[in-house]
Amino acid sequence: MRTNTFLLARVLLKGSGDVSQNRKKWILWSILAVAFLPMIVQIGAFTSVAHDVLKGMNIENIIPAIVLAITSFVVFFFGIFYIINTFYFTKDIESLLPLPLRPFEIIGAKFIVVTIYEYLTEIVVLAPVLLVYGIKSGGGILYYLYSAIIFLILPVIPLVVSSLIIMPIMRFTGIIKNKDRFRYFASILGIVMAIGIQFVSTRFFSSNINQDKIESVLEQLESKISTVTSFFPSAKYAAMSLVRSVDAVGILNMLLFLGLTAIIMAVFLYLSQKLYFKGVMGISETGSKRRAMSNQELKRVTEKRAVAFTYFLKEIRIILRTPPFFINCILGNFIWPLIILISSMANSNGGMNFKQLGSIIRQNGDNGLILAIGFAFSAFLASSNNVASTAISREGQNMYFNKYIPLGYNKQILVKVMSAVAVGVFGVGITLCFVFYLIELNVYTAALIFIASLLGILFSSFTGIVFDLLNPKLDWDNEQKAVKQNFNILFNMLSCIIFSGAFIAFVFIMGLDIIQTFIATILIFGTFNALLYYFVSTIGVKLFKKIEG
Amino acid sequence: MIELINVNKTYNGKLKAVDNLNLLVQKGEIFGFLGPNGAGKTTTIKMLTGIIGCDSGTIKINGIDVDKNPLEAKRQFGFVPDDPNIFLRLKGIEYLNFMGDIYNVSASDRKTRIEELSERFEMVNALSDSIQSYSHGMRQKIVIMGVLIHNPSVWILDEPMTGLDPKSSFVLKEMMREHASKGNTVFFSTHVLEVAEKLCDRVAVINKGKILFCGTLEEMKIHFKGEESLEKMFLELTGNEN
Repeated sequence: MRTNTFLLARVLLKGSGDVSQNRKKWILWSILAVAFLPMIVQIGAFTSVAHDVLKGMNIENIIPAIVLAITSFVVFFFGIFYIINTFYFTKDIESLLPLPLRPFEIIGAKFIVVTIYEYLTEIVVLAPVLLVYGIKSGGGILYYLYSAIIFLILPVIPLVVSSLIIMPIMRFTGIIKNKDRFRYFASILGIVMAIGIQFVSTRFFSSNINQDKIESVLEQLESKISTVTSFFPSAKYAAMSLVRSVDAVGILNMLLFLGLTAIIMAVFLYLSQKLYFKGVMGISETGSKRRAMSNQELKRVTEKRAVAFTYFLKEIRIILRTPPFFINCILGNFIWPLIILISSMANSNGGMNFKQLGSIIRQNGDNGLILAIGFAFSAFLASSNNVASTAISREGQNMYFNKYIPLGYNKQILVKVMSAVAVGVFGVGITLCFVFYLIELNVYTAALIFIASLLGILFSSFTGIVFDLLNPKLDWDNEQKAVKQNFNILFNMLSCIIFSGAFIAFVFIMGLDIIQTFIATILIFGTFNALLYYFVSTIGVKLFKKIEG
Repeated sequence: MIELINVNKTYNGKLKAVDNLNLLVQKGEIFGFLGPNGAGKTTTIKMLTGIIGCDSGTIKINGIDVDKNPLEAKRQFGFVPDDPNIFLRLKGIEYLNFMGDIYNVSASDRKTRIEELSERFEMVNALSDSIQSYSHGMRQKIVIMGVLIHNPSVWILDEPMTGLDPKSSFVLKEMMREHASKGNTVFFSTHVLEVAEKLCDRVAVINKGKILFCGTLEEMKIHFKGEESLEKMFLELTGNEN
């Protein structure tokens, strides 16, 4: 019975990652480590400073409580999304339901999977703080033992809380029965929340904090911490066990922490038996009307279109209608304008704002750097929308379709590039409009930047499809894997950063003015694009032919 | 007409999926392609349709070489894959229209054909819904309709009856018969021996990449001396391994 749970958890974990290729997995882990290391180091360093400051006020013991409360909240927040995806919206559930497994075995296994995901969160948020605090406060073996136990057990209660929010919603309301609609809603909500937090924190940190204010801030913080810890009571016991790890109070609190977690877990497993299966059954992907079309309608929708256009339309439709594709390829385009807008609002009362930036640019009106930076920004933005770098991967198991239709591979590749360009122009267009408006750029410069950025978009779309042709990721059972866990996205962004970074350096070293930079862009990236066009229509076609769908 | 001449295919340099295959499917015939799982049926069909290339040998459809003139060859046939889970985010009608554009079907022809096919397969009410909302059988039907929209002379179908309800299965068989009797070619793979027995003019049995038998059912019966059922002959041929 217990072995069933662990066995299933192992299978589910394997299914979620590309474990078939161990080398690839290591590359992924090292990239993740490199990406998060600065953040981990920073958090560690901040803890060290905070410890010294708080020790001066004799309240350094507040650190474990703060970090455990914050971690609990972060785990809870991510948990909502993990739980929805892992519990309800994975394809595996359809094959698990008919197996002779008891509900709590399935839930237990899925719960373990989600908990393991959360360990990654904890490595960034919790581990550095506990480690630095341990060193600073001279914690003994028991401190580190407790820390390790807390690290492993802490996610349980926040995850139970997020499950208990999600499960009744899934069980008793019909609103989330439509998987696609819900995913759109959840992702937009997630972005709004993330930007909201960003907004609040910018406000909070940008207001000048002086020595007098610190105490009142700390007081506020303390009351907030106690609200969070009362929401996750286990965090309080855990914190206490760390602070008093040397004496019996520590052990007592540790036991309370473990006991409480065990009780809550048991209650959760009992409740979830009642809630889970009925909620997960009958989740449909989409609704349907089942209505005949009138003759007029039929005539309208069966109009003949050019082959390239119809293929283009298919690409765009699938991107817009498949939630993971939409989220990763389209929604990202709106984030930059929003971030720009919010930071311009948040900084309105101090610091460097866009108007000042604009006047600096106007004073150096003929400097080529502005164009080079605009170009680099556009190329990077276009590469980060993933349309080109996942163009082949998104086809997945249906890749074979492209092989038997009478449409040349060359044409198919180019239309895929064009759909990436279209999305790129859209994203870069709205972002540039925002920036131009905020920094009050003149129309002439704006037009030059926009034209140059078109070449950047084309460049990143070509390089994107080259990466995807070289190593498409077709073997996925969940659309998310095509556009998220795909190295081609990363490679393409890196290549865009390298090329456009080199271009900025070139413009800076040569001291080009704006017209010279414009001409250089056309010459250099025009040539690159021509070469890439030649590459995809010769070697690219061969690569396409080799892909065995 | 479909011709396969000395066709070979090896996977990863080791596994010989198709071994020196020779087949000739004439105009006007329904040809059944039989074999146990993993015998090389799907590999053969993938080579036939240009999805994968063959290592050596020649494949021609209506006399056009698939390797040398792929686009022209691909216009000759319509292909129904064994997995109908494709373009799930498109509406039925969008998919049909997409196929119409890809195969360059005129607006009036495609409208007539969509009306006729959706009537015949009882899909009139489902066309404006997304394919995702379809059952397995309906998905199978929309794929078949998409293939037939350009009225190809050669039909290639991989396990076409799987998941179809009896009525649709009957309609499809009827259509295959009509198509062949107009002088066209129908090539399909199947596990279902009764279908092959009732429908096919000729059959080929493939196992481990080799053709074990190719001919009419009568010839097969003579070959095995007696009035044996196709099932028994099939099991004997393929060594009763499955």
